[in-house]
Amino acid sequence: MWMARLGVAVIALLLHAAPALAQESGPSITDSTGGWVFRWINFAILVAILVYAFSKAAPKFRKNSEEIARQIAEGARAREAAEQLRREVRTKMAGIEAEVAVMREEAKRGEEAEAERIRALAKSEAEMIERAARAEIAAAERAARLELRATAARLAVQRAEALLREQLSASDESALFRNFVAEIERSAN
Amino acid sequence: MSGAIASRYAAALADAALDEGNPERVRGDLAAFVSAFDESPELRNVLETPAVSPELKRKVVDELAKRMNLVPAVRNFVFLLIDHNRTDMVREIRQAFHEALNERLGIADAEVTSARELSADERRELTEALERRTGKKIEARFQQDASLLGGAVVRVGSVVYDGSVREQLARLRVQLESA
Repeated sequence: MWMARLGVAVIALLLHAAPALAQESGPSITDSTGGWVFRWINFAILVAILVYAFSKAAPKFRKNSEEIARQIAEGARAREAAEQLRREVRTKMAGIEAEVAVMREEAKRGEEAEAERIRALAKSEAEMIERAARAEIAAAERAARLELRATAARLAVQRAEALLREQLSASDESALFRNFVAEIERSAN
Repeated sequence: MSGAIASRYAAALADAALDEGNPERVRGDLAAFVSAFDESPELRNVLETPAVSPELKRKVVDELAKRMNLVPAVRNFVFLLIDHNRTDMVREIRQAFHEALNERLGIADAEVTSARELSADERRELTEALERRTGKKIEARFQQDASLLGGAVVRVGSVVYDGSVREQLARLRVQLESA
């Protein structure tokens, strides 16, 4: 906007100066009193235009100046912050070797502790599995013994039953019945 | 629940039968009435249908009692069942009456199962032994079961006397397994 105003002012200046420039080549009335008055009027108009133009452009110049000053101040602050950061980094970097050493030591101890914990856990689980396996084996052994005993008993009774069916005579059955009746009699007395 | 109800009716009839002095006649007449009740759908229909009035049911039972020559105790007892709408329980009551009367008369039923058919002497010996054992008169029913192998099994009420060879073999098997 201010550029457009400045352009208008320059054009007006040229328009006012044009008659004077045109008269410079030949005899003119500019050397007369009227010419001088006319020149002074032109000069005054020119000054007024210039004053007006600069008065309009001054706030912008001030604003630019303030902006530049602010940016310079911010740059200074940023530079100061960067400087501060650089000092801190240098300080930290100075102790980083020790920190790294401490961290390495801690990591090493942690790894050793974890390895020891895993070894203990694996040992415990292995012992537990071994105990369970032993118990299972013992149970299976007991079950097998019981099964074997039951099978032997079943076969023995089956054999006895077969023998009885073959060899139990009528007199034997009568004797069995008499024993049963006698047993009832005994329980009554 | 129905068992308790049947027992109460049966006990009342047993007491009445003993009061009349001829309990076995009452037992027989009640059994005859229950047989007729089981064998005749028409009689069951009349006695169990609510649509038939109690008076008509009484007339039917009275006529039946005359034809079957039932003792008054049985006829009156059936009247009582009609009045109380309990004719559907007559079979259950008959069984409970049998047990109640036996209990009052000191009679016990015995189921005897033997591997072979018992002789008359063996039956008598066993019955007498059971009477001495229980202190009651024993009415025994005999049957055979060859799977017993030998000996016999006697059930008196809820008590079982097992003298069979099959039972002895079973005990032997248990002893062998636990040895």
